[in-house]
Amino acid sequence: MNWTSRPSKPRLTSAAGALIAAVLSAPATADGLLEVEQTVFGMDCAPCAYSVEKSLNRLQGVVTVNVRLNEGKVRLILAPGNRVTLQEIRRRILDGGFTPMDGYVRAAGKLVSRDGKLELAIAPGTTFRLQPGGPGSAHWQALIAAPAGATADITGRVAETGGDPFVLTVDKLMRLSGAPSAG
Amino acid sequence: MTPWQTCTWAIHSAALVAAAVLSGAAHAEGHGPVFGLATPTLGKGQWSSDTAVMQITTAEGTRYMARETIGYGVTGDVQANLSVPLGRGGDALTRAPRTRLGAMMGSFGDIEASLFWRAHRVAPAVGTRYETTLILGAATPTEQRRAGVKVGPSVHLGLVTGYASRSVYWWLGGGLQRYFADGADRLGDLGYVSAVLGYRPPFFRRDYPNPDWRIFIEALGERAQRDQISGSENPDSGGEKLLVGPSLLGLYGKWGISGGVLFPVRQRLNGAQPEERFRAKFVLTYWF
Repeated sequence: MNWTSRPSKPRLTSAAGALIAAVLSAPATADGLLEVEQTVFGMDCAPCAYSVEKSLNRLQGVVTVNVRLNEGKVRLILAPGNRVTLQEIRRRILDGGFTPMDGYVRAAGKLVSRDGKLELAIAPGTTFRLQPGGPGSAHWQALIAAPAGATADITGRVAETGGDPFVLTVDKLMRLSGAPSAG
Repeated sequence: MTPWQTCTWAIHSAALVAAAVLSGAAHAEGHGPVFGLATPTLGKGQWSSDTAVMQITTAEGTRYMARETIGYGVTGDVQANLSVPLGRGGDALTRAPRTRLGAMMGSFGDIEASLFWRAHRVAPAVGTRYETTLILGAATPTEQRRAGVKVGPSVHLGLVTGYASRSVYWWLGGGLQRYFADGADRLGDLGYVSAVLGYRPPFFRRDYPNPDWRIFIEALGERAQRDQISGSENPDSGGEKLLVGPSLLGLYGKWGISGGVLFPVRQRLNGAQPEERFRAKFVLTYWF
C-alpha cells in the first residue's frame, strides 16, 4: 500500500498499531533535521576533515560535527527546531571540494500529501518525499495510516542523487503524534 | 655570510615564525609536496598561510630565501594566492640558480598573484580523488637586477594532474614561467616538470584528529633559457637540471609542517656556472 492508494479509513495491522502506541509514548521533538550521517567521497587528509568540520559547525543549529576520515562519514547532531537543510549540508561539503553521497537522517516534521505522495515537511519550504523502506514495513504502514498534518519523527536513508525534494527511504518511525488510535 | 647578512637573515626568520605563530597563521603548501606541483585547492571561504624557508647551495655558496603565501578558496575548486618574498640571506650568489621557491610559489624576489583552478575532480570512493588543476600566475619583481640581469615582470602557467587517497598519492605536472624584457635585458624563461609519489604509513592512517604524516619522493626537472643582457645572450646562463629527493609532511588539525631536500642527479649548465649541490626547504602551514 502506498500513500496514493491510501483508503479513506485506514485499517491498521496489529504491528502498526503497536508501533503507533510505542512511538506516541516517546518524548516529543521539535521539527527539523535532528541527526545526519552523510557519506563523503574524496576526503583524504586531516585538513580535509578540518575544513568540513569547520564549515558545518558554522551552520546555526548544529550541536556537534564528527568527521570519520577512514569511513568517509560526517555525522551532525542538530538542535531541535533548527532550520538547517540537507541541501545546505551537502552544498557545504561540495564547496569544500568533496563529493556528498548517500546519507542517513533523522528528521521530525508534519506529514503532508503533495501530488499524491507522502512528504515530511520539516520547515517551511523544506520537505522530504517519503517512500517505504521495505514491503510490509510496520513503520511505513503506521505513517500512511496517520492523518495529514500528523507530526512524525523518522529515520531513513537519502540517496546520493539528491533531488528536490530529497527522497527519504523510511527506516524507522521514532515518534508519531496526531495519529488515529490503533484498532 | 657577513654579520649584517646574518643579522638580517635572523631577523627575517624570527619575524616570519613569530608572524605565523602569533597570527595563528599557517596549510601545507598544497597538499604535501614541498617542491613539486599538486592538485588540491582550498575549500570555499577558507584561508591558508604558507611560510617557507628555502636554502640553495651551489659550488659558489649558500643562499637562503623566505616567502609567505596567503591562499583563499574562492569556490571549492578555485583558489587565489598571493606570494611575497620575506627576505634573503647567505652568500650573494652572482649566478643564483633559476628556480621557483617550490612550484606552487613564486621565484626568488617576485611578488606573485596566482589562481589555481581545479578543472577536473572525480571522487570514486571514500578517501580518494582523481583531479587536475590549472595554475595561472603573474609576477612582478621586487628588485631591479637578478644575477646581473635587469628583471621584468613574468607570467606563469602550470598544469598538474594526480591522485589522492588515504594511503598513496601521486602528481605529475609541469609549467612555464615567461619573463618579459626590461629594456634590452630579459631573464631566460623557466620551464619545469615535476613528479611526486607519496605514501601515508598505516600508523598514520588513524582517524581525524590524530596526527597525519606522509612521506614523498619528489623529482623536479628544470630547463632555463639563456638570459639576455643588453640584447645579447649571456653564454653563462641557462641550462638543465634534474633533481630528486625526499620530503615529509606532518598535519595536525589546522597545522601543517613540511620539509624536504632535493639533490641534483643531472646538471647540464651553459658556460661557466656553479653546479648546484642541493636545495632544502621547510614550510609552516596554517588553515584559518
